[in-house]
Amino acid sequence: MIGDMNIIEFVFQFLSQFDPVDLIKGFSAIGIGIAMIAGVGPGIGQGFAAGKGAEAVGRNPAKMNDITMIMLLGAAVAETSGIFALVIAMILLFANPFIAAAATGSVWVLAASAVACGISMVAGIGPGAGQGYAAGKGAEAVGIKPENKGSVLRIMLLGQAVAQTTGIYALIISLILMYANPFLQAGGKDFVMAFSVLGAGIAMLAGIGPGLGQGFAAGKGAEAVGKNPTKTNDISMIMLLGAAVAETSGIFSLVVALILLFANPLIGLSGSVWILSASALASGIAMIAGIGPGTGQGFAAGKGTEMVGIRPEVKSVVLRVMLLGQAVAQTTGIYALIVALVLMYANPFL
Amino acid sequence: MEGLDFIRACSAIGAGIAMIAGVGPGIGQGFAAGKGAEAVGRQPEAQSDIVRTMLLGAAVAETTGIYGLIVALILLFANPFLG
Repeated sequence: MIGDMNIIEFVFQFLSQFDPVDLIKGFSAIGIGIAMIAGVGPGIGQGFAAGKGAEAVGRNPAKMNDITMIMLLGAAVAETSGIFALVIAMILLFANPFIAAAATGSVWVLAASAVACGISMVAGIGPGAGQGYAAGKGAEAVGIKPENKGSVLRIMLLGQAVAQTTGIYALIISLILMYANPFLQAGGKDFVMAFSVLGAGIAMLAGIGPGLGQGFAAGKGAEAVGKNPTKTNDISMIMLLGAAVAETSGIFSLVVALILLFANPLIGLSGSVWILSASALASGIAMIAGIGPGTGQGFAAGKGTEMVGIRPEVKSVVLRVMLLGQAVAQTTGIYALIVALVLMYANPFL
Repeated sequence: MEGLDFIRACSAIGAGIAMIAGVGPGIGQGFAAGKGAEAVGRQPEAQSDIVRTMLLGAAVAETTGIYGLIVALILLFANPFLG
């Protein structure tokens, strides 16, 4: 306690002394820095691709051109999440929509939105790393069997496209916050709105999981097709089925984020503004759990894909066990969703 | 505290956080270096091709680290919020 205020009230009183535009600029700077953390993903993934490329060239120096081409193509896809984050950072630096809205919107909502935009983009770590893994496996596969280059490239790009989805969701949430912010016109309860916005951005971090896992599946798909191009259909089917299950955590988080933004059950409630705000924030934090199932289910998808490539005749039993195991892996993500829903719709503290 | 000082303080924090991006290329290029060393150990006669591929891929991996550095440098030396 500081005087008669708690810590949170003290912080807000401290921040209230500043001009709204200065507050928004400051928090934008923080959001900008946070967004760049997305670069961790492509860094790891493209480095993996480089290593697998070097290895493949060592084994088959005559095929260096083919290997390098697949490596660079896959690495270019992996770069996407880094570019998205850079674009958001540049918008916040040089064409900041929150500063422009400072005259009409709540300063707390705008400042929180700036930070949340940055946080959301960190989801790009998943796709960046996962797609880089796929690029590396593609380079490796082409080094072993360059005559299957076309099939390998196709399934690598297909799997990478699936892995990109949660990064797109995160980008959409950032763009909504910047250009279609539902809280700018609303009045009252602006602390709850500010923390809802933060919760929505944090929820999108779950996208790291599916990005990683589906990228792994894409890599195993490229590897399997490289070895056995006649089985591309079976391989693709298992890869996409397993990746679809891995997507679940990304969908759950997107739903929670959209609820917090467009159908927020907490804003209309009476009760302590701190409990409402904390509950909104916590709903988003809980969804981070989705990183686990997303990654693990993607690993399962990849191993299922690998096995179907080796022994397509056991496809149905592999699929059954893969789905059974993925269902078990989903449980903690369900628990997190339940807690988020309880906080939003059946809050015991209000 | 003045408003401009608040912006400067937050910009410092943002610049520092942006450098976390360096974790990625650090890990990735390290992996590439290891695989390169392994490959050269197995096929020393392919050394120049291996190293060329490794450095090419590592250069691509460097990019997101550079983006983070650029953003940090902008926040430090060409900060549009302090104009």
